[in-house]
Amino acid sequence: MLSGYVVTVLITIGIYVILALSLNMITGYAGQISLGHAAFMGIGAYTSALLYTRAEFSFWPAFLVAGLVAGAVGAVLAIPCLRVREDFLAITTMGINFVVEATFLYVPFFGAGMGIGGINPPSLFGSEISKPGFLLLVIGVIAAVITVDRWLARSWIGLAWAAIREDEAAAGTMGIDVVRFKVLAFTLGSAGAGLAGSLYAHFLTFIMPVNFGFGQSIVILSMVVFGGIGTLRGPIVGAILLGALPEFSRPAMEYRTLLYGILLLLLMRYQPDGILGERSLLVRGWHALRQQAAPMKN
Amino acid sequence: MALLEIEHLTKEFDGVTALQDVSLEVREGEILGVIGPNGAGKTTLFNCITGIFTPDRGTIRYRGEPIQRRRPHEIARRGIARTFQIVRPFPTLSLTDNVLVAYGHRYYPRLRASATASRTQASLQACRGLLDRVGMPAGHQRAAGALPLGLKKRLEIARALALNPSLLLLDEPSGGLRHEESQELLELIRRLNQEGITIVLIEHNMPIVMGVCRRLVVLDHGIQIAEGDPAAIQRKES
Amino acid sequence: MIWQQIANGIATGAVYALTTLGLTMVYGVLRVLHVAHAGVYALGAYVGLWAFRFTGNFWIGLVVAMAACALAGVLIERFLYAPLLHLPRIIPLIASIGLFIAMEEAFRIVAGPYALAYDAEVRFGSLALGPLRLTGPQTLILTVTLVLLGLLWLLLSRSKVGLAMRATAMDAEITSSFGVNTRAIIALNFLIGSAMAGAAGALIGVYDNQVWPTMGSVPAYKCLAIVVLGGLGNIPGSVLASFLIGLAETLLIGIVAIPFPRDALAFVAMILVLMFRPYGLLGRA
Repeated sequence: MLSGYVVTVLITIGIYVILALSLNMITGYAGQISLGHAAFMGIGAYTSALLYTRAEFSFWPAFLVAGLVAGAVGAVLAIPCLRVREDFLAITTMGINFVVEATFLYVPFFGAGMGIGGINPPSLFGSEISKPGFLLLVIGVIAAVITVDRWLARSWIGLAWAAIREDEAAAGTMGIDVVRFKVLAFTLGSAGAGLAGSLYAHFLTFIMPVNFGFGQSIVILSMVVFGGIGTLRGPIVGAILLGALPEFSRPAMEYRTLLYGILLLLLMRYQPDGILGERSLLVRGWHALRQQAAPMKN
Repeated sequence: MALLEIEHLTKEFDGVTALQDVSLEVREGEILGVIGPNGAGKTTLFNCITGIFTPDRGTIRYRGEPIQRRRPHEIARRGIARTFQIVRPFPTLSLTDNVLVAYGHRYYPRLRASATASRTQASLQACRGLLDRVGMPAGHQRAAGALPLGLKKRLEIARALALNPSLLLLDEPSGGLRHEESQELLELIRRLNQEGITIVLIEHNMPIVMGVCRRLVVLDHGIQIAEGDPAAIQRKES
Repeated sequence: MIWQQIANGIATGAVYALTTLGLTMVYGVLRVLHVAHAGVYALGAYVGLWAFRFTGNFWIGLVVAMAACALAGVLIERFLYAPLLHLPRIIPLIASIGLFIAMEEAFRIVAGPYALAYDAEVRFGSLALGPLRLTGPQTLILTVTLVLLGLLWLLLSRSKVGLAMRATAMDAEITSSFGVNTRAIIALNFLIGSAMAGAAGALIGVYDNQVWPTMGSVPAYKCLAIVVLGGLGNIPGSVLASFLIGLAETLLIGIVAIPFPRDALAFVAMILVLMFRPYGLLGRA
């Protein structure tokens, strides 16, 4: 059996997978750089925590409401983001993250610097679910997110996002309401982050503003880019590898963050498409191998 | 009856006038040529018609309806399609997907419809048909960014046709092409026109202009300096 | 009381101006969001402190800090950004964040996690303009800032190199077709911008009398907000925005005492301004 420690690590990684997949919708599919994804994770976490500790909601409705609230706030905050592009957008989303974190930190309603404690893990049939049970829940949510992801990729929505990512002005002249599809990307992506935030809150049982700061956004974005932005496999693999990195680099504790920084830098320098992106060494090698193998079949 | 009526159209950028008091009409079924030197405001005219720019003054009416304040997608859905002077296919998408993006215009307006599967047999077949119609050779799964210029231009026309347009705006379709390629394109333009699509053509290549346009508008420094049949304008120019 | 806050605000604004100037110059020529610029700023503080301890002279420390940062900036451009420029903007951005994280960690490992004192005794007269009184250190910061800004202005507006720099910022491709070595001009932008960040780091180190590994964390992102507020790549815009934010922070937080973290104020201002001017205060489409 998996030890409690391993389960804890796997749950954390699983939550990061949800975060990376949801950010990938905004930044990978629709091409809108977001440096503030953790803000929406925080909005989901706080919504869920407040509903649970103050309004006596049980986990399940709180979890769903967290997704809805984060999605709704994402839709509203997408509006300032629509006025700006590229680098201005990146900095605006970063600003949103700082402002949201500051709000958690300074408004007493949100527990200010103390955060919110006493958030229990979910219960099922009257008893609290165990850690392996929580892991199954996280895996279930990941499966649901992947299902939505695949369905979007096959739909006209996915196509409209791809067009906006490649050339916004041309997409407009192809009949795509650019504003609407961008808002949709921010809404769905933020809702996913909200769900992840709710899981995070009920897993840690207490939350603090710093959990949802800009640094966290960078961690999530790094995972997406590390694995291969705009693909399904990329963010999943990126979240697993970078999520597990702290565990594997335990012997080099002192140099862990340094290594992380250098890893990001070297990857961008030599594999800018991520380890599993379309133009990455691994994927190109794989395609080359398959092409070599193909004539032998005939 | 005029399909498109433009009256007193004016557009300035930071005090520089790109179009000044331009009035013209596009008649149903014709091929109208727009000519003039670089910087004359030809592409700005297209950008105003397709909603990429909002004009400072003046009106643009399409089938009698003012569209100068409409956004690009609303104008596209009304049946005005265009190509770009500097070709802009969606580079990492396949040729089929490039056309499919425009074919989707009938699904985008409603969220429900846009959440349905895009690559159905019917829609893929329609897109392949459009690629054939512009004479695109096989290999529709290639990424559009890797195509040679001539084929990119064809792809842009196929993409525009997927909007099922009544009015097609072509921005220098022969620019950068070899002679034979231009001739083939000329044939394509004629054929599309015979199929009932009204065309406005920005073009530098005078033989092409003289070959297909029955009416011309001449712009210079944002001002419309002449309008009429090609022969008369050529006489006046020389 | 209010005048003292204004003096604080001016000093803060001057440091922001020095730091953001480099950021905006880099953005002007490369269109890269240079997050690691704040790492260069912290490097300036460390090198300045080290050189001061070695020589006992603040001014030598300042010059050495500027030189070291200039070199660091040129190396960053050459080996990190230059190969990434043709890629989507997010790639150099993530690389820059990676470098910034690595730099902060390197400072911690080399110099220790604690704040070091930077007790350079700089004899610099205080300045009184009517009711406005600047303390010695504040006068020092303002003077150095104005001198460096003045030199930069002279360079940009009066010299051939400056003309080439401005032209490169407008359109590098066309400029290089006129025979200008735009690679050298880009390097020069990094050199000057990074030297200014180094000066800012050393000055703030003395002003606060401390230097610590993560001293660049807040400036890294706040300066991006200020640069965007001024209009990305626009030099007068970022100087203006720096002083506005410096004053707004000290006045709003110090006098009105609104319960809001001062470091988030720049972002609120930026978001509000972008709603009405999507390209910043002095920026253009």
